Amino acid sequence: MSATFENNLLKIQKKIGSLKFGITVIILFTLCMIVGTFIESTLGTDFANRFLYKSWWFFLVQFGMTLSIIFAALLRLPPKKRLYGFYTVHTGLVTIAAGSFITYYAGVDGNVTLYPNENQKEVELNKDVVVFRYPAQDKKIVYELPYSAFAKNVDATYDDIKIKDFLPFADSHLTWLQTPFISNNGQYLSAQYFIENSNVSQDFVLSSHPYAIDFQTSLQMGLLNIHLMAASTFTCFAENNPSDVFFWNTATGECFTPEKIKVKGQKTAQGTRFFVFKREGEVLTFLPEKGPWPMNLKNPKDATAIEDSPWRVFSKLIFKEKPHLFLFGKHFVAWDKNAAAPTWIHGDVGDKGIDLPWMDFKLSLLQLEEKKYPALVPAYKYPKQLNGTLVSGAQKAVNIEIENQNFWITNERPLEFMHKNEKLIIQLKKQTLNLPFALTLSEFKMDKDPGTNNPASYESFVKIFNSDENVRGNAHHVFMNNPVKYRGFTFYQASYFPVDEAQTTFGSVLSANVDPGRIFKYFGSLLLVLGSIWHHFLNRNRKYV
Amino acid sequence: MKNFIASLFLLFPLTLFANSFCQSNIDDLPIQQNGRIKPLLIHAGETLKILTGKKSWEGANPSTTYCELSLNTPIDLTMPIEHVELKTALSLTTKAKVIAYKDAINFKDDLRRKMVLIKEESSYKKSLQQFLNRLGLYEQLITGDDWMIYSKGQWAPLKAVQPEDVMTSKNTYISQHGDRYLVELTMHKLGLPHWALVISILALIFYVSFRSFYPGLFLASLTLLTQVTYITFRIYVSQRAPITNMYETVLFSGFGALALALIIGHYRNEKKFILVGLTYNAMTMMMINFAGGMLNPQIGPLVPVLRDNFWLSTHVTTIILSYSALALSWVLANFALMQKKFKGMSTADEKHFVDLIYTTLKYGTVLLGAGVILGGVWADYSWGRFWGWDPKETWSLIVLLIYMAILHGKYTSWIPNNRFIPLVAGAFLSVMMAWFGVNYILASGLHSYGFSEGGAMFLGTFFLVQFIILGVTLNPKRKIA
Repeated sequence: MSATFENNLLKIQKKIGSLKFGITVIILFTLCMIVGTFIESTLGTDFANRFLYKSWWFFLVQFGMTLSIIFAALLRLPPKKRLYGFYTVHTGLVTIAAGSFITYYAGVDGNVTLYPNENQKEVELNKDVVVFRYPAQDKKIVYELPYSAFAKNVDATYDDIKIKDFLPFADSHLTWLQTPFISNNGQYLSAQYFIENSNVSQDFVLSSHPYAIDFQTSLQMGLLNIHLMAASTFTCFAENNPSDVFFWNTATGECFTPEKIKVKGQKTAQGTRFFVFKREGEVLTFLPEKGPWPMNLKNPKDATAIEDSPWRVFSKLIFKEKPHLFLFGKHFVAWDKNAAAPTWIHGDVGDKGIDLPWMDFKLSLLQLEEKKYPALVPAYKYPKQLNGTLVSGAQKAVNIEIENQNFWITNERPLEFMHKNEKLIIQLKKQTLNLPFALTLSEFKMDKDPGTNNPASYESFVKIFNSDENVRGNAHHVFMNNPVKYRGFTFYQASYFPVDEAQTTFGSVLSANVDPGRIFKYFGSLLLVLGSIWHHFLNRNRKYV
Repeated sequence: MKNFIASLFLLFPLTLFANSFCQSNIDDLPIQQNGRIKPLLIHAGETLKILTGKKSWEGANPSTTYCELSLNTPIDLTMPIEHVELKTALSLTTKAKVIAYKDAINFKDDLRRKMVLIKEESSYKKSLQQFLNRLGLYEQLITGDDWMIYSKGQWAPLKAVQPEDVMTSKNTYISQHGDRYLVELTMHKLGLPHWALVISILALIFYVSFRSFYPGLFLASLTLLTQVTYITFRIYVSQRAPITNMYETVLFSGFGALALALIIGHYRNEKKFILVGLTYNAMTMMMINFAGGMLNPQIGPLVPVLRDNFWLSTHVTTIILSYSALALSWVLANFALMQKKFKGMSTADEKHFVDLIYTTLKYGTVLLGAGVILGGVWADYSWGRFWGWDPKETWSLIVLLIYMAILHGKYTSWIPNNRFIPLVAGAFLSVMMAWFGVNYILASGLHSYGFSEGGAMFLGTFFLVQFIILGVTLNPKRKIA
């Protein structure tokens, strides 16, 4: 080592251990934290962690501080009595830093969600992963997504599957996408409607397109049921025929009522209604109240449905009691039971709005598509936190390309796909850790403050089952400020959630934790406090210039 | 007498009964609300405060007003309205400050519908929420649903009990559960916060105007004793450590600062400390007595994680005491700045001030460091997380580091004495941020109390005044001739 190199090294050490460097790095660290608290307050805890608190550069600042603390003590050796407190404080700080690093590197911090009386072995951790599962082969590939705050182009490939973009914070928007094939007889409809009355106003989308996985063909809005039907069945639906049924061929799209083909309904020995007619040499038997398919009555006691037949029967009887709205793209049909003469009403839903027979509803058509299908496409959105939950940008999404098709997968729902004739399930979720034992919530108790609905205290009774030891012990009592320790893990009562509508039964969320750095942090803290008191004591008579 | 009134009820219409019964002494009737048993006077005052913004209505005894309202006596109670959009929605002029409840009721359905349709959490939505909450409470009150009476071993609302039960509820309750709840009534009637404020200010006057030490010392001790008594009362009534909400932390910090000032002043033989302690104490007492919108004296139930007296008494008290010590440094620094600017200060004087400030900072930073660590240990014990970058946690660390930077800097040429003093004055703003700012401005994280009225304005004013003092007292760079 040359003299100048050694000299330079010494100079650097002196710089790092100098007071002025120390103060600079303290101020830098402090400024980062101040910014961090404001970011957390507006954009939420997760974003603040990803952007700042768990970022590499903040880690570098903390590392710089630790270096400064170490060198400050090293440069002021050999030990002087008046500095004993100072050495202790700095040693304590470094010990805390070491402990924190150990926790970061080797620790476990996650949540265990317990449903009443169900076994649970999974701890949900913090990182986002994409899980590719082939259930037939029992094969699972887990890809860890980057812990970024912004949208990131991942560009990872496995076989012919490519993970393209990851959006850690997103909101989905309604987008109309071009359909790659023309629908069958115009059977695949997608439409966006708007319904309103003096209390509510809402737009909704219904679609029968097979690619529209985000939308259904029926929707329930309070007491009102809304159904999207094939356009070709409109005329039959609208008819006020006495039998209130009609027949429909899904392949050709034709429909007709029994009155039209002059077929009468008959009753079986049990009193069930049935219709029989002949079409193109085929005898079709329908029991409208039993099912929509034609029935095979070879065995009179046991009628089975011929589900691969294109024929269907539709019974309109059951839709007269409760409010049901049938939409056919541009047209609608509904049973008006409050009219002077109850009848099936029908008409065109324009963009001006037509009146429905219930709750003063007005319905208008916003968009109708046969060549496009609706999809909820996620786009990056800055998160917004309110009262501890995200109100915006709460979704996570990842864009995956398989066999040259693009799919968006969100954390709300996995995607099923036939990949090379194997069923593949792709899921965007949080990384999980499997425990070597199972937890079961045997009981959950919650006390309320007298006369209020606020929880005063809540506690879980958790049984731990370990197949190795064949231990099925008594229920451990876990509640706030009282955790349970088992096999290196500590489980704390974190929160709870209702599992039924009435909010009488609850599931429990425990936080699961392994902290190998704990002892360092505690010991370092002790040194820190005692050292600072010692320092002031040693220097109590020293006057400063 | 009570039996006579009871018999009157049987003979006379309800309103007449209401009049005489409600005007009798009913302050000490037990009532169960907000999760605990308290004297009626306390609850009545709190209810009126929520409904009208004031603790009493038109000079009447709050219990009487509460009683009359519960018996549906027509009283023209008004609700304070501040938000401009809300005034418009209620067909009020911008100058109007209140709306009568009987008129407000007509707007209930309309405004509820409006509130549901607002998607964003705006201040208008919050004021609508508050409007509806107050209306809800009012309606509950006038139907007799708010007044819980102890009868037949249970708590039932007024409308479900017999009139005789109302009269005898107090004695029934005391015979079965004791009269511990009455201590709160004594505490309330003693009016200790008012006395403490008066005595603190008197002590200050003695110090400043008459320059006599011993009367001032006597008064300082007296106000300290008053505050200790009040705090002890609160501990007894709430059955927990006296630092669970903003009101209590402000109260405790004022007491802590004065006590600390007296102790340090005695051991260092430095009379200035008492003046410093009294100044801060008088400020906190003024906030306790006048800042009722921001600081709520109500003793309410705690969230489950706080129901641990050990950690409350160790972690929170240590932090608040550190704030007290740092507050002393802040007062000292501002005194020094003003004396230097308006009266002149020698280098020796300045050194002396710096020495005093340094003494308070020693206690402040050690207590703060210990408090931060105790918070980490509590979090580790409760949730397995020693440090979570929660805003309150992070801000307490920010405060500690700012003071650490200043104390370290004192050893370098960067911070000579004349820079040390204004830096210490400004550093206290970080304490205010950690103490109030996190709750009232950042309003997120585990320590949030929700965005309260006046908090942001208070902080803004505090910052502004401190900046003005700094701006006025800092010497411009001397021109070298």
